[in-house]
Amino acid sequence: MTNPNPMSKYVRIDVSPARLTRVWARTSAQLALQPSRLPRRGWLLAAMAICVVGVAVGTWRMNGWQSTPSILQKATLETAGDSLRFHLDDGTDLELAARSRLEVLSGDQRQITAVRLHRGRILCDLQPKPNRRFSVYAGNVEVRVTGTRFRVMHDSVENGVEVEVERGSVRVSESNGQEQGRTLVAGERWSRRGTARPGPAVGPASSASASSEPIPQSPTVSALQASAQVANHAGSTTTINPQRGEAASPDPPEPSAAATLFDQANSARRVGDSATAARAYQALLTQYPNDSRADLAAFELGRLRMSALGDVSGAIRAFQSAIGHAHSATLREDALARLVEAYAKSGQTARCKALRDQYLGSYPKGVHVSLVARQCGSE
Amino acid sequence: MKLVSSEQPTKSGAGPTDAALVIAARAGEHWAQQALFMRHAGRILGLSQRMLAGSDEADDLLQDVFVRAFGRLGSLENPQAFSAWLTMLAVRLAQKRLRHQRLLVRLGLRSVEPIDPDGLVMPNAPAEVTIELRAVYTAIRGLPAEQRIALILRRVEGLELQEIADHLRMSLATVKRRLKAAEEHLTRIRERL
Repeated sequence: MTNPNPMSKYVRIDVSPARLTRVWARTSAQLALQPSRLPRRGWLLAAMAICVVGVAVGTWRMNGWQSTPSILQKATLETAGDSLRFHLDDGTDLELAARSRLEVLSGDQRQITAVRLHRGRILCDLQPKPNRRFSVYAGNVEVRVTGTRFRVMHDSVENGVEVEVERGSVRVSESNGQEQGRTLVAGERWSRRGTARPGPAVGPASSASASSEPIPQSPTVSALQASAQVANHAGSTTTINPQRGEAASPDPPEPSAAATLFDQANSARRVGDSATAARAYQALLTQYPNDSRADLAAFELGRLRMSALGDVSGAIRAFQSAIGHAHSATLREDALARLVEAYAKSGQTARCKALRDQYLGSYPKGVHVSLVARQCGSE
Repeated sequence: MKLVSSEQPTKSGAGPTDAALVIAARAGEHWAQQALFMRHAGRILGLSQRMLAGSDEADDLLQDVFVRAFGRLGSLENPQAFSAWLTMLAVRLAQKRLRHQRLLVRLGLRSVEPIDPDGLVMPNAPAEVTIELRAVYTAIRGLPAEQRIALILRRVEGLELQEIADHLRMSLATVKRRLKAAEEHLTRIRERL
């Protein structure tokens, strides 16, 4: 087995982002000069081989294939425990929050013109351009922009939608028989309480096939405001007068406590506060063991305990819990691989070997095969 | 398009896996190439610097590794093994580069490269590690490329013999032979230091 404490870590190396960026610029320029080595048929085969790669935190899926090569065309993007960010060739930045699902309705990596947010939250930052068109569809709400930075949240269970603008302006409209267009400017927020069933889908003709796909039930990322309220730049809210024919405003439901704990844990983890994150994950597991986020919470808790908190025994318990709670095969695979690693670190060789063999037997082509195979010492 | 941020995917599962990015890169997606570069360049750069013991050469080697890698992605049978495949490519290209340098020196077309063993070791290294690294980087100056790489992979990277054989595409017997010669040279250097 490779020496776990190589001297390599004591050799002075400069891997600054600036240096890597400089080398990438040269590499990219050289690649651009080279003719594509992949013959057309090989390219088509490679493109057709693009498939669902399920991972714990990010999934790519191709829905249909067009002759124009683009992994983003008709792609569905789904995140689990962490966010996913994209930068498109036209300068657009998109950030898909954790536990969100986004479908590209039209466009490709050069420019996306329409997406459907099935659930969760997306942050969009678009460069202003003439004749620019970009729409986010959430439920039966369309958010259309020309150049702005804004968020859209969609609670797919309650079918509530919330839009918040940071810069520029957007046009929000609903297709529910009462077409109401409203322009939101920077600092304003709009939300709509969910109904039992979503209204007819809004979007261009090309989205018809996408809209027929049933929106999967999922836990909410966050509860949404229940009424059409507009928040002005100073932060106070204004309830739109119902007498003018606009929606009334009952009190918004509180975010679920489990969701709050999960968000708190994730936020703490991202800023490096491992102890706080671990406490919040543990609280979620203790108080809401049947919550749909319990599997991810257990997995993240295991990672923190093993890598940051030095609690290998605690990590073992957490990974075991993650396996038990796991809703997805991908998370189960990841948790099993980590459990093997934890047993190896704790010196429980017999248990380590048993689980190692279980992993290798269950996932012969798993993403962790090389890592797991090296654990537990020799046969 | 580029993937602006994603955490290392292989262990935690965060972000697209290497396999997904390789498939996209094969289809000519520039953003996938960049994502693979940003994900692995730091590690390959570090390895390159340790093998070449020279900062400028390491940048060139890094560029060379990725240009070759993206040109040969079609030959990678298992996209999930991209990381290990890339490492092997880096080792072989480093060896090739060192052989070429040595030939140029022999032909008088290039001067012997200066290696500063003291400058290569981090100040917080334990004393025994500092002494050992100084000895290794002094010793490699007089070694042929194959022995030099084998010694670095063994002593600095901490690889097992079979791993070295895999990286260099040599038989285990050949690796043992080369390492034996390199270690004997290293022993002589240690006695002089």
